[in-house]
Amino acid sequence: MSQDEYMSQMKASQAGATQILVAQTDDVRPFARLLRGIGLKHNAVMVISNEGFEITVEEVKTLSAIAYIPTNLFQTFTYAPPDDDAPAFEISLDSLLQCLNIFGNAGSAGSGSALNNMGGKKQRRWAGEGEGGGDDDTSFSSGRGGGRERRTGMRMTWAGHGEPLSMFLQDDGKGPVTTCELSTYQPEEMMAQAFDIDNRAVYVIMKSELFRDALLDLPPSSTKITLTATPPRVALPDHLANATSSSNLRRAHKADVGNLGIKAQGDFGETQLDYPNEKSVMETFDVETEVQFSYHYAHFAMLSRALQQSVKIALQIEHTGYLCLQIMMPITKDLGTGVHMGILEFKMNALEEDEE
Amino acid sequence: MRFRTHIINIPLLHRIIRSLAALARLCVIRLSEDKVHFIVPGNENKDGVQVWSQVKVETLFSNFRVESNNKNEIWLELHLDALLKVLKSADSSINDGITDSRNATSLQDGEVSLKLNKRGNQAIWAFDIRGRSQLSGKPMQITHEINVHVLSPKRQGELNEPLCPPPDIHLVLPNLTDLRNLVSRLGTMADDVKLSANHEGKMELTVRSKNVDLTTTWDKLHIPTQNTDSEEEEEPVPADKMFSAVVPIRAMQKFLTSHLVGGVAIACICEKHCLIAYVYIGEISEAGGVLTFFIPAKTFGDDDD
Repeated sequence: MSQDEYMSQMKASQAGATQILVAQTDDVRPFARLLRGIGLKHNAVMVISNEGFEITVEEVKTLSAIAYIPTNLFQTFTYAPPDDDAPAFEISLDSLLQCLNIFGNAGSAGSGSALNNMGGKKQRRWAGEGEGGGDDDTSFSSGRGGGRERRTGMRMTWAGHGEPLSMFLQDDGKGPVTTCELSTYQPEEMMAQAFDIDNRAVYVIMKSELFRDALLDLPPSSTKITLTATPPRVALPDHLANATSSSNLRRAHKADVGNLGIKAQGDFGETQLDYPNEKSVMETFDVETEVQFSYHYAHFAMLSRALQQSVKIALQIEHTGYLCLQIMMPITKDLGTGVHMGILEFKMNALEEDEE
Repeated sequence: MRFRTHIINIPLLHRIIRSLAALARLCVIRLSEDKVHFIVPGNENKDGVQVWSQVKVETLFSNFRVESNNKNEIWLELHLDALLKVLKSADSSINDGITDSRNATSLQDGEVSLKLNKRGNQAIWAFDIRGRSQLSGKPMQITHEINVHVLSPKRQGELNEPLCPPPDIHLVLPNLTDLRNLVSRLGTMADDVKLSANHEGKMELTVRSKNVDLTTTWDKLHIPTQNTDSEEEEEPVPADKMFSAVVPIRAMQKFLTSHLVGGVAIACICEKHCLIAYVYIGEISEAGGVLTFFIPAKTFGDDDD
């Protein structure tokens, strides 16, 4: 039976229920990549709208992650808003990722093993991972998969409240097909507060690569990350005046142009990285007074996965220390202004002074 | 009791033993004049997977001599790990001489012979790897010995191939490596998988968990024609009737390690009783040998359709 026949059969079988959502793509990778970026917990809340999906994961009150997945990641995205509440439900993010990767074409393979160590000693198991075991005996399996790149296509449907999220998956329109039904649950209430732009102390836009490299350079044994944003042209504090002249020069330069410092502290010492407000580094650097806030290293470690294959980050911090990091995915086709290929957003509170 | 032979296909033997080592520690090898049987009884692993395989002597051996007062059969039991180590060494020493000249341990004109010996009271298998050093051309010889246990006729009698009802369906499985990869991904979702198939060549693998129901479907798989002893021909089953068996995913993975052997595989479903998989060595027509895996079905509380 061809895919078309399957599709029509599927449609026929679902004819009774009108679909609230039909989303179709011939390559699940961009979708899966965004989902994996927020894979901090097993379950996520999915909200459907005309703009696409908004998928949220929350670690109670300490960290929230949202994937904004626009409709242009799909060839077809039809959404018929129901009469009652806007569609929102909780699903197993792990299972969703496992389904998307059922043919092995949406996994995290080849994403650089260094990244997988970012979680530090805990060796966190990320959502959607778990190829573990069985895949080690490649020596005999005669170069399977080598150059041939296969893509998994997907058709996702949802028929309304209380209904499962259904998916139909197949590689390049041939070979075996997989259908899955993900259970949907009543969503937990989301606790994360909105980021208050009016109370913004730091607004920085820079290339993802630089920020990601910074995170990778921080020792995994770290426990605390301190961000210091220094506005341009701040006079050198008196107590530093007697430092060596070369470090004075460097400081003077950073003080001139402004600087974002990232310091990691842990049981084995500390590491400091500086990102001066130079054209090659910062696209936007909007800091009026020097601010300094500390965060859990573990939360920062989770960001590195989300940063993979992204292009830009926007880092914003409120005067309260509440941090919002937005991660933008590359735009691969001409979409016009204001259109994006997916944004991941992380929000976290600063550590209290006495939490150290 | 005498046994000695040359091993002419070390890579194949190596792969067979690797597949078996994935599911058991011990293996019974029954040597007869024309066939070698590799047997893994069901008590060797907790999923009850059994292997009853037979390989034609000429597929693996030459100058094969086996003599005993038991129909010229010898039954041995040995540790698969020990055998695997020897075969790994032999495989890298022989290497067909064609490829991989960088392999410093590889010998020219390598040959492997195997003999049943005794060291004190302990029966052993002695492997002799002979050849010439690649560098100096001088003759080299490597000997490995592993302990084996000769089975008494009583033990032999206790080993019986499992009895199964006539299978409800036979079909040719898709590429075993693809299937292995897919099944290992299913293993992250659930413990058990339901394998179903019908006479139209449709096969389904279904897993169910709290969070997800997933079914992967293959179509137009080949249904081998059976040389049915159709005296007791019952009423024909509808071609679209699905027959199924629920088995632990771990057991499926064990059987699928046989993708190393690389042949065609045929699955039989004895509904709600077991899954039998025949993995052919070489072409089916050549009948070089077959590894037969018996995987007992689980009875599933909430799944009785």
